[in-house]
Amino acid sequence: MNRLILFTFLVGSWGHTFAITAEQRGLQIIQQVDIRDTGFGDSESDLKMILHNRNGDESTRVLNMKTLEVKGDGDKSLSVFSNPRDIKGTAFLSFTHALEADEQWLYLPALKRVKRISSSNKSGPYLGSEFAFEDLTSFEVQKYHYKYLTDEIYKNIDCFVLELYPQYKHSGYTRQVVWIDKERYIPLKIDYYDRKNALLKTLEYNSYQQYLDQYWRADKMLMTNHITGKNTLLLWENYKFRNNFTDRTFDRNSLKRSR
Amino acid sequence: MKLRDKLKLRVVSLLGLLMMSAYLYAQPTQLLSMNYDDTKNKQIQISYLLSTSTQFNASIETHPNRLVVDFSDSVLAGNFSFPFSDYLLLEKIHCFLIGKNDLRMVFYFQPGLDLVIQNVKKDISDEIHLLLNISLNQEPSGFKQDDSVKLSRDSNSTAKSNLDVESANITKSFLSDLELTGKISIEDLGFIHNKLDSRQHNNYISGAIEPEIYYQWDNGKQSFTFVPFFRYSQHDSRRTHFDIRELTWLLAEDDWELRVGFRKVFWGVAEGLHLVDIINQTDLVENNDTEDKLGQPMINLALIRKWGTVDLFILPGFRDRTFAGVEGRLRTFPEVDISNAIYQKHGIEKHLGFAIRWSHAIGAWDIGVSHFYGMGREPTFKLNNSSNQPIKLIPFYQLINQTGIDIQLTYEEWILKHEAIIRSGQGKTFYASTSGVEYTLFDLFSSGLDLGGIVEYMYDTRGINNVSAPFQDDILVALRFGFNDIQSTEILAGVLFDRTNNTKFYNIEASRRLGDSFTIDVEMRLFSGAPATDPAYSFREDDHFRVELGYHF
Repeated sequence: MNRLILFTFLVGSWGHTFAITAEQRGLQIIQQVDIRDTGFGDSESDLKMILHNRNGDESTRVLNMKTLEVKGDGDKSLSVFSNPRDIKGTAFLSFTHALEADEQWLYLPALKRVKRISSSNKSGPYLGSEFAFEDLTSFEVQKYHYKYLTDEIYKNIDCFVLELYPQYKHSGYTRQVVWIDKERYIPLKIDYYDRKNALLKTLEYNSYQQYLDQYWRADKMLMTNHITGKNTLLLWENYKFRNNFTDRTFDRNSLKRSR
Repeated sequence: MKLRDKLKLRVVSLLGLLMMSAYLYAQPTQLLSMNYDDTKNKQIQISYLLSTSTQFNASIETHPNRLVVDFSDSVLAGNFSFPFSDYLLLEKIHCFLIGKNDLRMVFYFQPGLDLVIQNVKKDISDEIHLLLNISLNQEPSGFKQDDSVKLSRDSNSTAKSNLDVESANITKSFLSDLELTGKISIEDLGFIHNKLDSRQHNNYISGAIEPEIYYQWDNGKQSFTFVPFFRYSQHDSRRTHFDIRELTWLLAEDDWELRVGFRKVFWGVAEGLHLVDIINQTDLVENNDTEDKLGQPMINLALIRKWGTVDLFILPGFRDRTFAGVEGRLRTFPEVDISNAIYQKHGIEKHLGFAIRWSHAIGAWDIGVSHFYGMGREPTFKLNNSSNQPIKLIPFYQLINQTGIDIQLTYEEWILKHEAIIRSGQGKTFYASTSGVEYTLFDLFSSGLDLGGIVEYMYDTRGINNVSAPFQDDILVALRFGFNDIQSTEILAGVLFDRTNNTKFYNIEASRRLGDSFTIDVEMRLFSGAPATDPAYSFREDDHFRVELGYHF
C-alpha cells in the first residue's frame, strides 16, 4: 500500500515537471487578474440596482458604496442605502477575509442600533435582487479552486474560459464559468451553476471604464436568472479612487453616522 | 488548416480588431481636471485637461450672468471641487448632460459683471489642454462666500430644453446639500375585547409625522440633524404628543466624535428585553413594546482608540416616561398620574445624568461595558394617599447607579448574547440579566427565505413579588421569517412566558413594502393567564391588533 502511494506520488510529480495542469493554468490566470487589480487603494461609487421581474415590473435600490483595499486580506466595504425610502440610512459594514469568516455589521437607523450579523448568508438574495451575497463580496483568490477550460471569442474579444469552484462554506454554487478578457484580464461574463449543477444565472459585464490608467470597472452589470426569468441591472456611477479612506472610515462609529 | 480557413480566421480577427477600435473610439472624452483662476485683474482664466481631443463651444449668456461651455461626447471623470475664487465672482457651477452624451458646464457669475470671451486656446501639441480667457469690463467687488455653493453633477438627465435641465439641477444641487426625508403614517389600533373602563374605547385611529432635516458640510465631518415627531390620536389626549427625537450637531474627527443636542442612543444585544439600554426615556404611549424612545439632550464625546471606543455622556434634562391616559387602552388600573410624579432629587441632581461606555469588537465577540449615574428612567409606583381622590399610581423616580455589560458572540449561523445589569438606588441593589441564542437557517431550500429561531431567558433578583420586575423568570421563544423578496417581507412571531405564574404574552409582527414609498406594518398582541398579582393583569382585556400604513419621502 505504501509502495503504491509512493508510486503515484512519483508519477504525479514526474508529470508536473513536464506540463502545467489546467488547474495551475487557471490559478495563474486568476492571479494575473488579481495582481492587475491590486493597488487601487480605495474607491467610492454610487450604485443603482434595478430589479425586473418576469412581467417587466421594475423596482430600484440606490446605495453608496465605499471600499478599502486591505493588503494581504479581504477588502473592507461600507454600503449605505438611500432608496427605497423606508430603508434610507440603513448601512452595511463588511470586513471580508480570505480564509476566516467575514465580519459584518448592520446599522438600523430607526432603532439607532448597530447589530453584528452572521456572515454565513452566502447564497441568499441581496435586497431581493438576483445577486446573492456571495456575488457581491470582494474577490479573494483563496476563496476558489480553478480550472482552465479553453480559449473562446466572446463579443469579439479573445477570452480565457475558466471554471471556479467555491471553497467557502454555504455557497449556492457548484461552479462558475468565467470568460476573462485575455488582454485586460477582466471578467466579461460569468455563468453560475446551482447546487444541482444546473445553469442558474448569468452575469454580463458591460461598459468597462479604466481608472487611474490601470483599474477597469464595469459601469453596467446584468444578472439574469434563467429559472425565474427575473433580472437585476447594476449601474455604477461616480467612481472615485484614492479618497484617502482609512480603517476609521470603515469602523462601527462611522457606520452610525453614515449617509 | 486549409488556406481558405486561414484566410477566414484572418478576416475574423481583422473584424475583431476593427470592432475593438470602434469600441475604443466610442469611449467618450473624459474631463480630467479643471482649473479656475480670477486672481488676475479684470481677467478670468479657465483651463481644462481632457483625455482626448473633442469639439467644444463656449458662450456668454445674461440673466443670469453665465458662461456656458459645451463639450461634445464627454463625461466628467476627475475629482471636481468648487474652485477657490479670490473675488468670488463665481456663484456656482452646474454640470449636466445635454442630449445623449454631450456635457454642459455652466458658470454662474455675480450679477452686474460685463463678461467677454477673449480667446479660446487648444494646446496644439496634444489638443487636450484647453484654455478659456474671459475679460471683465468692470472692477469686481468681493462678497461673502456661500458654503452651499458646490459643483453638482448630474449625469442622468437628458434635456428636453436646456432651461428645464438647468432649473432641475438647481433644485437638485440644493437638495443634495439639505436633505428632507421622513415618514407620514396612519395607524389603526383595534381591541378584540370590550373595554374595562367606560372612558376607554375599542378602536383608536391616529396619525403621525416624523420628518428629518439633514445638512452636512466640511466634507461630511460636520452635520446637523433635526427630527421632530408628532402624533395625533383620535382618543386619548396623552397619546397626542410632540417630541424632538433628534436635534444634533455632529463633529467627527480622526480619533474622536462629538455630538451635542437631542438624540437617541441604543446599547445592547438582546431582542426581548433591553436591560442595558438606559440613555433615553421610553415613549411608552407610542407602543408598549418599549422600543420607542424620547429624544434625550446630551453632550456625547466618543474617543476612538485601537482598544475600543469610549463614549462619555453628559445628560442634562430628565424626561418623564409617557403613559396612556384614562381614555387609552394598555394602561394600568388604577391609572398612572404622570402630572403628580415624585422625584427623589430636585434641581440639578434630578436633571443631570452621566454615563460612560466602552465598546469593542474582538474577533467574533462584540463587547460593551457601561455605567450610568442619574435619575432612573424606569419609575417605581406609589399609591396617592389623599383620601378624597380616586386612587392613582404615582410614578416615583430615584437617583440610581447602573452598571451594565453586553456581549455577543457571532459564530457561523449562531448568535449567543448576554446582557446583565446591577442597579442600586431603587431599594435593595439588584441584578438582572437576559441571555439568549439565535440560530438562522439562511436561504432555506434555495428559496431565499431566512428562518431564525430565538430563545432568550430573563432573570431578575427582585423576584416574583416585585411589580417593577415583570421579567424575573421569563422565557421568550420566537421565530423570525425574512423572505428577502422585493417587498422585504418580514414576520416575527413569538411568545413570552413567565415560568413562575404562567402569564403568556403572544406577539406577531409583520411588515412589507408596498410599491416604492409605502410600507405596511401589522402587529397582533395577546395577553393570557395573568393572575391578579402580575402587572400584566391590567392588560387582560387588551388583546389588540395594530395596522400602520406609512409613506416614506
